[in-house]
Amino acid sequence: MTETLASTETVEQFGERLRAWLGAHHPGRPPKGSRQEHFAWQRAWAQRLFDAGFAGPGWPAEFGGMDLDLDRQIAYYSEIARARVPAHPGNGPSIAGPTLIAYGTPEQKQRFLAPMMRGDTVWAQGFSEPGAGSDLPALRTSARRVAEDYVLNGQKVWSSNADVADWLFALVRTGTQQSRSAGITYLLLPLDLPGITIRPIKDMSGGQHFCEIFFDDVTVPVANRVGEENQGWAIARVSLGHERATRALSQAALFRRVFDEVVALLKERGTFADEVARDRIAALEIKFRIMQLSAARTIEQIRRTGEPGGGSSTSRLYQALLEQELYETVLELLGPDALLMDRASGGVQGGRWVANYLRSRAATIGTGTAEIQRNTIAERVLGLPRETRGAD
Amino acid sequence: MRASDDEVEALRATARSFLTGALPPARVRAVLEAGGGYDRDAWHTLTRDLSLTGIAIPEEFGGAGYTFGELGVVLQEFGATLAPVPFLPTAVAACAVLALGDLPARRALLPELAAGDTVATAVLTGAALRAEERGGAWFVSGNAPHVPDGVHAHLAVVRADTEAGGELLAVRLDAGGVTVRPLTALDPLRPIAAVDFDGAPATLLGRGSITRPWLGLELAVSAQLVAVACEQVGGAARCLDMIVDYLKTREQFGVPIGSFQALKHRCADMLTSLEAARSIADDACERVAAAFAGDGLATLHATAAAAAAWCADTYVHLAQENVQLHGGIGFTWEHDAHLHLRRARADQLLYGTPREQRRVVAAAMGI
Repeated sequence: MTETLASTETVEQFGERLRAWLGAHHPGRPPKGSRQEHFAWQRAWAQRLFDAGFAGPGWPAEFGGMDLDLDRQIAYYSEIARARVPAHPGNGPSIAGPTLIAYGTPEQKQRFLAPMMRGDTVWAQGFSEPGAGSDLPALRTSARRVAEDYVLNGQKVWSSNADVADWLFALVRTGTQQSRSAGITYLLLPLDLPGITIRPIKDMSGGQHFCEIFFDDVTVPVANRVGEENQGWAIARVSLGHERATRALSQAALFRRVFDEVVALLKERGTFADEVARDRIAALEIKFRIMQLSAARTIEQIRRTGEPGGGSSTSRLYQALLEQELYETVLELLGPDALLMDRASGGVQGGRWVANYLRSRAATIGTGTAEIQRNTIAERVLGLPRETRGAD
Repeated sequence: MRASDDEVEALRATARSFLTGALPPARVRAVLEAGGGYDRDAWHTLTRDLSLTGIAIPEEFGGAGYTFGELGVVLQEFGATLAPVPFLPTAVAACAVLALGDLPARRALLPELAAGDTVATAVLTGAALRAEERGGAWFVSGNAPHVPDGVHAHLAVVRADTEAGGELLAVRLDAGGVTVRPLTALDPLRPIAAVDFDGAPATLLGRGSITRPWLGLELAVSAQLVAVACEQVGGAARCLDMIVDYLKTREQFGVPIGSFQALKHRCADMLTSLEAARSIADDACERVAAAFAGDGLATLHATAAAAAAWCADTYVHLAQENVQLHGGIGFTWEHDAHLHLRRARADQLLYGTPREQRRVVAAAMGI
């Protein structure tokens, strides 16, 4: 996007331009084949967006982002949600990117950021371990310093798409086990290094995008470290500007669309002859309105004060619980038709709602369980005292 | 006119310092122990000195000329302190007069409401009243079973059926044809009266109105729902403050009980509900303010009903948790927890239950 365009174009015109482009270039329905094919489809879309100048709404322009102001970011996410285009493959732009922008060396930024956004290099996250889930500072995957390399041994788990990704951003143990969060280092490594074994985990929905990663004397150059040794914990917690707020807004737009589809489906099935069904869906309608209003309120707070304010602290928990409630309610209102999981068997809309129900059980587990989020809200926002825990 | 951010904060601070200064818990208790009534000194201060009753009334009618949004901010503060003054019903009655765009009625009624000379209440829902015209004058009949602050009110704005449909009328409660019967209410800080109208002389509102009367009626009902929602947000926020303060100081097993996850998680869930309530109530306030300026009337009732349903349930949830998490002390008469519980339940039931509000939302969804 050229400077002139950005400075003369109104927010509405920007939205219209994006909508027109998305309409003209939409890749259509996802491929029916393997997960690799699906992934390639997502990657191709990310590249297309990037090349058209429509990738990374909040990212700095020097790394291939759009550097949009808040209003245009909002317009961007609502158009993307409406257009039903493929999601970006991997966790790079959402999680590793902000860390690199804040803490990467000039060489690292130059090397990694634009390919990450374009989807040329797809990234997976290596944080959780079998013994370090909610208690992440207990992680044990060791990185032993040998001259200008680290030598890795250990195991990561719940790594999304590691089997199809190119690179991993990982937290590893460089200090003593007792040093906990003060002995953790942030590393970047290609996933095809010798000594790495990746095994997909089949999840309870039958899907297979989580993986286990095993490290057996894997050598990673020190130049791949982000920030200083043993400083990785703080580095991993950074997020880019108001990305959380804009993401909440895009989630809200996305779920508004899904909920409207639910209402249309149930209307068509005659479900609303039942007064109780009407009440349940009206209750959900109120909650989805709130989801959008809370996201908008946070954005408005940022606009006025520069800070996201009180409403943002609880939005992730709210959204996760609402996602689950949505699919729980749909299953109950579909009744015995929700017993069937594919089109051939006569499942409703190809069994989509049943599959989504199963998947939604992860909403309160992944990226911090609901219980950990509640601890965080109670301690950081309400100022309640910490519980006596085994270690800190 | 809409206040700037700074003005809103100043207004909030003014309301808060007045309410904590003029109506400390001991004064609230005094009214409670006296068996209801209201604090007339406080009412004079807030009407004469602070002009809070006129906050959303245009300046030409003696008000401060702010919008419904600023009224909402003040109502939150009243909700937090359970101030025993008939502020909410009077404000709702003023909104109802304002909703119809009837200039003579505004001129006749708003100045006395703005000045606080007249305590008013509104009967917009929950009563089957009839109005008829005889010889150019209007008369209202029927029974309104649950009129908030009906005992104190001099004036009621009522919805009544006429041959032409629903209309709003103003009735002087101290004139003939009106019997006000005080009732023992769940929430003694907002007494309920049964009001019998037996051919009570009334003024028909909405003649010469710029909007169609039923739109004005819908605006009045929506304003009423959102006014209560704001009070509920303020009350719920105070409950959570009380809980968190107690959990930080109360020790059992040698530690503050607020360190226990079983309690912390409940607090986190409460904050999540409360923030959701703030989001929907703030938006509803802005929408009502816009509707008073003539925008967005079509979807207003469902917006207000959605806010009413959520905020009512949130306040009840937090008020009940406030009792529970205070343990034994929370069940005593001396503790304020029951006062919030009473208000929360009364607010949830007074102008239509959450279930009824969701019915409005469902209808607007076309389901």
